[in-house]
Amino acid sequence: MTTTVADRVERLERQWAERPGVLGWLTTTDHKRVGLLYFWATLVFFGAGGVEALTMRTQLIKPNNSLVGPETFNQLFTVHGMTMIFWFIIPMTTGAFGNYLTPLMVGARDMAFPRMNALSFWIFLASGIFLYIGLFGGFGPDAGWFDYTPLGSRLYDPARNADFYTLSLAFNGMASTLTSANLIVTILKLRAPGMSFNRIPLFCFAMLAASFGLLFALPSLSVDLLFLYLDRNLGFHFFDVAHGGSNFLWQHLFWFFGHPEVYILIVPAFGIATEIIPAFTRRKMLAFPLVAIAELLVVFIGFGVWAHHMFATGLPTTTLVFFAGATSMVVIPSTIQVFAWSMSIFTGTPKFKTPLLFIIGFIVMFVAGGLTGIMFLAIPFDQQMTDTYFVVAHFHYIIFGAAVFPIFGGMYYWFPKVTGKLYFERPGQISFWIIFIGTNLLFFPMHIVGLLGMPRRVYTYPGGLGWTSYNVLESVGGYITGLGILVLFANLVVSYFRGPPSGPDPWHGPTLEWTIPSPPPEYNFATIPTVTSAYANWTDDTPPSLELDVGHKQHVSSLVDGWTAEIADMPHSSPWPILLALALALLFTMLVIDRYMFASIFAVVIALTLLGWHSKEPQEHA
Amino acid sequence: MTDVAVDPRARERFPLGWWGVAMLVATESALFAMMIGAYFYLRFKNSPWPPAGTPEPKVVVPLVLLGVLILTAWPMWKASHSSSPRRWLLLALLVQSGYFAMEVGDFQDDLHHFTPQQHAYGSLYYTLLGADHGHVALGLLLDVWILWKLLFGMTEYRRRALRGIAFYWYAVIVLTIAVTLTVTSPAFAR
Amino acid sequence: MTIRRLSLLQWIGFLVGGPVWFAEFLAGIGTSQAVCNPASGRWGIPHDAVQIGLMSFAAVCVLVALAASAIVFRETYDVEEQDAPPVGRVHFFAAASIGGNVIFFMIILLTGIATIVDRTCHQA
Repeated sequence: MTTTVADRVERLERQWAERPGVLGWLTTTDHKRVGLLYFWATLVFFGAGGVEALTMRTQLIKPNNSLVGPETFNQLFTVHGMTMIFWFIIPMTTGAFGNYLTPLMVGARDMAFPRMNALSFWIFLASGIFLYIGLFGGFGPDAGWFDYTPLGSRLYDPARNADFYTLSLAFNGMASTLTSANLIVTILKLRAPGMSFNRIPLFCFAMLAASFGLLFALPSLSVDLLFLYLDRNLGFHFFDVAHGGSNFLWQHLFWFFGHPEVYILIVPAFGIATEIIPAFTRRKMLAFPLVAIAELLVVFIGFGVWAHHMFATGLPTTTLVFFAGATSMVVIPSTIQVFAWSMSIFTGTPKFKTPLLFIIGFIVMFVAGGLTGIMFLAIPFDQQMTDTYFVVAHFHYIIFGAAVFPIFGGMYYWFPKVTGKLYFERPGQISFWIIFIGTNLLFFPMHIVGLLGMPRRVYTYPGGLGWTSYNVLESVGGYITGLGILVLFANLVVSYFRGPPSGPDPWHGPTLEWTIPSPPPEYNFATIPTVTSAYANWTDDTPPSLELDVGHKQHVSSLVDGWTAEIADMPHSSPWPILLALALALLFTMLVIDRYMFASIFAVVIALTLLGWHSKEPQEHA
Repeated sequence: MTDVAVDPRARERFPLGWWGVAMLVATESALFAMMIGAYFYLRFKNSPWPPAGTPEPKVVVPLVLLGVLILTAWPMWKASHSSSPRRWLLLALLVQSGYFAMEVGDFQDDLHHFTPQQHAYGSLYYTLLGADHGHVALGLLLDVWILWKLLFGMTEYRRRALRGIAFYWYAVIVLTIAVTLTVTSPAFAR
Repeated sequence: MTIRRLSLLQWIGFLVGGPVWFAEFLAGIGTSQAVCNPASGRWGIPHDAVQIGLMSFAAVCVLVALAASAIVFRETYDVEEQDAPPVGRVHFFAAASIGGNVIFFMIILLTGIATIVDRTCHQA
């Protein structure tokens, strides 16, 4: 008996349906729901980081201000940095965009490890709550987002502040590690038939690069945090010079993680740009293989530049020139991409809708931030500018320009796919311009005031140094940026409730997600497509497809050329991820209050939870 | 549902679970690489190493034990490829447990001579070894778990789990080689 | 050339350059740190000789990888970038690897020459 399409869809709808209500969200393993959970949670943290930023800008609007004192200010800039990096950008790009879009773009029904995906979200959320409990309890980390020793050691940070630093980051790092492992295996193994390596969308190359970066860089941070925790709490001496340790060790381990981390921040955003540009310029990306390898190279070479953050520490130039040399060359892959993006826009037929506006703004700000970055590779210049506002200007142009702008553009671009509604274009464009003007007003004067000698991380400054007017501009810029962001989100919220229906493919986008309904059904693809291009929605041929409509089946491909390797049965909805995250949260809480006996008990609980997790086996194939 | 045939051109067909273990191996290898790097970094800065008053690391016993651990790769491989895996798994588990017990004994014995709270050498020595032994302990737990599951018969899931666990053990063996050579290195090069 | 040989050359071109550069990079940094630190400085490591050796070995390996990529690129010149595997994939990796290997080669030269020319262990 042949099944009709309607029969098949009805069966898929039934089998893939989520549990209703809140319980459905708490036990979900669907990558789209996990992606949305990440989206909303990261926005809350973004808001918190924004409040911290505006508080600092208000404190700095005039000399000798007393809105907040030095202790509070220390916690503000530390937690602002940690929040924006670890609880906004990374989880937004990899957890929200990565989780939601990657299976759709490779033609899969879910991530490779759906329950582990849910686990990574609950761990991420718990780690953020953990950090902010520390902050609101008066123990917020306060030694900078890189917490250099000896400042972060027990001697100079005697209370729990640095322990909240080490433990919240270690906890958060688990989530990112799990997400990156999931993204890698999904992109390598769950591709639709026919999707060989040269047919993987550039967004997925970017996710692959960022994930490999996280997988190999986070251990360095984990080791650093472990060492600091042991020094602080068990009397070890990794960083204690008097007993054979070294403060340089902290810095090397930190920056071996820290530098790849900053590339990890921007590479997924590059991926968003490489999808938006073809869609709104009606042409394929120029130099596809070079752009793909450039995304991987930025992260790979980025592992070799870490000590350019240590040019002012007195290390021998014999060592430092390695990093100066690699830093000069790491620019090249980024430049290749900038040329490819720009030339694709010039030679295409651009439609200047809001997503493309944000991408153009991104290119402008990324180039500006990149230029100041190259200036730092000259060791003498770096030694003058270290710890001044010039550095703050540089990295905010990069992070805000190269990570946040594409995130905003991506929100607009994929809004129709996720919600099934179109956003309102006019307010979208207005939000772009307000944010663009605001961020340039906020961050550009920082270059000047840094050159004039204003150090970073100061809670106030004296008058009469020529810094005041620039600080006023920056603070005003900050408020304007905040306003623009509010307009952006107001637009998205109103559009969600009042926007016209978008249909499946309002932009005639190039990739597979535009071939399915908006919002996508739980099972994503009714039939698994066979792919003949990285621009699967722009090809004319209709090759045979896979009908997998019994159970929760997923096509598994070979690594390189995308041939069918097997059909796997995927898990669907489970309470174990949230339970395991809860047990981990309790373990970390016991560690921060030095209750090691209870911590051991929770370690046992974790082991038992893992046993439960693996108690049910997938169905045998006939 | 149409029958889906494996494409004969698909040369790489490791199961998803194997790839999951591969990701774990990658990240844990980076972890150990950083700790070993830290060891040598501090070694470059400190003379004498170990510091005066701390005994030099033993060489013969650790290397012999290392050899024994390396040999367990063979029963693990047999277990993941044989039709009667339980006996091979049991053999591996017994030898691995013996290795672990001896290492824990040595660890405790070392603590009577110097502690991690005395100096950075001690801090690194015990952290590096502790991390390695911790990974061995996790391997033992995995062995017990899969052995328990296999008491109820073989399934495709359990076969794949066995492959994944064997891969985990190969990685632990390689990491233990690196760690052992690192902590015994002061005896080879002053 | 058969597709098997092309594929092999393509993998050499893609997989050799990066790891060789990174290993040489870490070895070079490690050598300079070993020479310039108090305890290990007494081991008498010949800094410049070691760096020249590392640089030469790595440069040769990367040039071989570059040559392999270039050969494959030329052999598959008429292949479109979105063509079916294996030949489409082979062409893609070859094109990508040329870019990567050129960059690795430049870093090896830059860093190797700079560390030798510089006054050894001079503090920045």
